[in-house]
This record gives sequence, structure tokens and C-alpha cells, in this order.
Amino acid sequence: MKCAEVMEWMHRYLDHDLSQEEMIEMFRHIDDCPSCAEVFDRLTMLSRQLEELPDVKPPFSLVDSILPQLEQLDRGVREEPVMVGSEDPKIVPFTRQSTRGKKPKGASIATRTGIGAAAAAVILLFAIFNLPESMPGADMDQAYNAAGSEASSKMITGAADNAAPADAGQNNSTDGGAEIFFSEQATAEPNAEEGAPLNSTGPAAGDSADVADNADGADAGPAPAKEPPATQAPSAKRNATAPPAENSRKASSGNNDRAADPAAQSQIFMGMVQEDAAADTAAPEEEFAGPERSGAWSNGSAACAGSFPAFMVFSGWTLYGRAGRTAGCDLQRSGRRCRGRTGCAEFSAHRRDVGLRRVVGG
Amino acid sequence: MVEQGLIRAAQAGDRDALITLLREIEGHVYKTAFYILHNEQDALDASQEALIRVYTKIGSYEEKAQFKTWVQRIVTNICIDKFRRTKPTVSIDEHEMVFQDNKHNVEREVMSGYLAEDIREAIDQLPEHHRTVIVLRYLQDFSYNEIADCLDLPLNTVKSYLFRARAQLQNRLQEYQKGGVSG
Repeated sequence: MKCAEVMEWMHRYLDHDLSQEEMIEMFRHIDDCPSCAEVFDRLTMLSRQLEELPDVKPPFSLVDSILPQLEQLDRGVREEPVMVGSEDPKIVPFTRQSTRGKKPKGASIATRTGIGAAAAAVILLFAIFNLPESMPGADMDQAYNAAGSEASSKMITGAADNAAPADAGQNNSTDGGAEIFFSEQATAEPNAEEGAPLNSTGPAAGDSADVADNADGADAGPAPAKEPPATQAPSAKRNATAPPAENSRKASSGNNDRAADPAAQSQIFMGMVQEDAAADTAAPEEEFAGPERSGAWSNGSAACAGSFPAFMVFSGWTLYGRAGRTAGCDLQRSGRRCRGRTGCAEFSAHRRDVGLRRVVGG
Repeated sequence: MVEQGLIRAAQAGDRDALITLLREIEGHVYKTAFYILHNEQDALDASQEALIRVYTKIGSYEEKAQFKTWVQRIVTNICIDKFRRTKPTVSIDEHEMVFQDNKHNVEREVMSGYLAEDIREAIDQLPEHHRTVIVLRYLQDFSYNEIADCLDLPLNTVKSYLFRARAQLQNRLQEYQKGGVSG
């Protein structure tokens, strides 16, 4: 047996890792080898002293000293579910929440502050864009689409950075912008009211009254103008300049109860979209476009199928508002009533266009 | 040895059980921290941090591991982190202070073995992993396997660390002794 090998066995012996036979063999070598015997003595002494190292105790109870911290931790843990609970009522039951994990709280806070920023930006933009209201409808359409997408992209960047208008180069945000618009309507209704006084500073007194009317309706809840998947304010503005708006305005107050149905439906879709926006701002575009479009269509057909004259007027107003916002519809632009999805090929074409652009992020 | 029922109760959300559990392990936690860091204040900080981590992570403990090795893994990780951060200032100061103390006593105690303070000093000079292995072996009375579990090291690595650590201690203490005898 070599000394190097015995050296290892000595260590194993000290760690109680040697079998009886190995121990006998090791001691036999040590008996014959003075140098190994000396090392063994020293190692044994060292090991014994290491085993006898004094026990040390903390000078005070460590657990007592950290109890306040532990309680703080507990409170932190308990507070979280409470926060989640308070958020729950805002989520309409039609959600995909069950299939999706709850997003971190920070994200939803960011979204909410983003919504606030978006709401402020929307009001500001409407106040600014109110000025050229006397322009012809066709021109306004173009201006509106451009302004809309620009506003949307501003909104997106505004969510991340409250500061100022970012460059509108992010064209892909047309869809995301709509999301924010939409949820903004659902959560920030007082803004609609606020929008009215802002509008009243515009050049046309009659127009601003118009807008105020709509804003009030929006506040009341069942406002049909809220159902289109974009901002209410642009449509309201369209109303202000468009001929059919006159009628629709009169009708809107009388038909609030009739509008309740589609409006309620739209609330659900809005809730869905809002949930989308809140829980998953990066949701696939198709997912978003789907419910939104179907919601708009079901509302449109329901509205257009109505037989009451006043209701028809109202539906025309609704569709006009929507078409004006999205891409415009020749029927409506020329002052005639749109008959909805099947009746107005151009309208659906426009809708498809818009949907397609959203999907590809154009 | 911590009772398994207490651990289960603590994991099930029984806060009192969890606090009792912490009280049972705090001595072990502090001892390891003290011998690895060789400094009372650092040891207190590290132990408190370790206990808080046990408190918050108790749910992630799985019974396939021994509770004591799980706890010691937490402490040693914290200590090694701390040691790496504070090494330059602390160890030099301590070194000088202890070294001077030794010189007075060495001659008197040389025949009765190494001085406890020398041993602590020598441990403090070891590389961090060697030191940790020594602490677990001698102050927590861990087996090779338990040390391997605790440090997530292969068994052979644990053995070689431990053997080398002992050899280094041996050489260093021998130097101290010789220095004491001649001086």
C-alpha cells in the first residue's frame, strides 16, 4: 500500500467513511511507516479540534428581530389578492381570462396610466381637429383617417411615455390605437363630458351643441355612438358636419331604450376588447379584429333592420358615424341611408379594408 | 433534527409552525454563517436574510431533499455571496488582529494542540468552497452526501475539497506552531 493512498484513507477514516477491513489495513501501514504515522497524528488532532470548535449562538433572537419584516411580507402577500379583487368587477364575464394567465399587476397599471394618457391626448386632439369642421365631408374623411392613425400611434407611445407626441412612424399601431381608444371610452366616460365644453370653443356654436348632445348620451350609458369600435368623438364630429346628423340627434334621445339592446351587446364586446387591452396589449391582431368587427356588424344589421322611421334615422346616424370614422361610405356621404352589411357593398368593402389593414398592421 | 410534521404544517400555511421552525433552525444558520464569514455582524445579517428566505420559500422545499441540507444551502449561498462582496476589507482587518493575539499565547499552548483561534484563523484563510465544506463537515456534522446535496457538488469533489482543506489547515497550523516555538 502506497503512502498517498493511505493519506486518502486517513481522511476517510476521520470522516467515518472506512470499512473495518480498510481501517485494519490502514493501521497496519501506519505502524510500519513513521512519516505516515506523524501525519496521521496531526490530522487526527486537527480533526478532533475542529469537532470541538466552540458552538456560537446569536447574541439575540434572530427570528424575533425579523418578525416585523415577516409581517410586512405577509401583508404584501395579502394585499395582492385584494388588489386583484378590486380589479375583477371591471372585467366583463365574456373574457378569455380563464385561458390566459393573469398578467403581472404592473402591466395593468401601466395600461391604466396609458389609458389615462390616451384619454387626455384624445381630448386634446379633438379640440384641435374641431377647427376645420366646416370642410366638406369627403375631405374630412381623408383628414380623419390620417389623423386617426396618427393619433393612434401617438396614443401607443404615449402609454409608454406620457411625454409628448412620438413620431407617427409606427403605422402598425392603427390597431393598437383602436384598442386604447376603445377601452378609454369604457373607462373614462367623464372625458366625453369634458370633451363637450372643449368642443364648444369651436367656431360653430350649433355644431358644438350637437357634440355636447352626443356626449351627454354617451355619459348616460346606452349611447349607440359608443358601439363602433373606434372613438366616439370622431363620429360625433362627423355628425356635427353631416346632414343626417340633424335627424339622428333628435332621434337619439327618443330611442335610447331601443338602442339599449345593441348598445348592451356592444358593451359586452367592448368589455371583451377592453379586457384584451388590459390583460394583453400584445394580443394577435386577428383576435382583436374578430369580435370587434362582428360586434359592429351585428349592431349595424340590427339597427338597419328596424322598422320604426325614427329608428331607421337613428341607425343611419349610427352607421354614418361609423363609416365616417372608418373609411367613409358613398351612400352616407351623399346623404342617403346605409342599409347595413348586405345593403351597402361599399361599406362592407370598407370594413374589410380596414380589417385587412389591421391584420397586416398597415 | 427538525420534525417532519412541523415542516408540513409550515408548508401548508400554518404561520405559527413556520415561526417555530425558524426558531429551531436559527442557531444552525447562525453557526454556519459565523464560521464562514468570521464576523459577527456579517453573520447576523446573513442569518437574518437566510431565515427570511426560508420563510418565503418554504413552499418550494421538496421532501426528497433533507430539510437541514436545504436550509444550509440557503445559508451558504448567502454567505458566499456576502463573502465575495466584503472579502477585501474584512479578512485583512481580522487577520492582523487575530495574528497579534496568537503570538502571545502560542508558546504556552503549543503542546496541547492547536489554538482554537488559530484554527479559526486558518479556516478563514481557506478558499471559500474549502471553508464551506469544512464548516458543514465539522460544525453541522454533515456527511459527504449531505455536503454534496447542500452545495450541489459531485461527491468526489466534496471529498477532494475536504481532504485538501484539511491538509491546508494542517500545514498552516504547523507553520503557526513552528513560528510560535522559534519566536
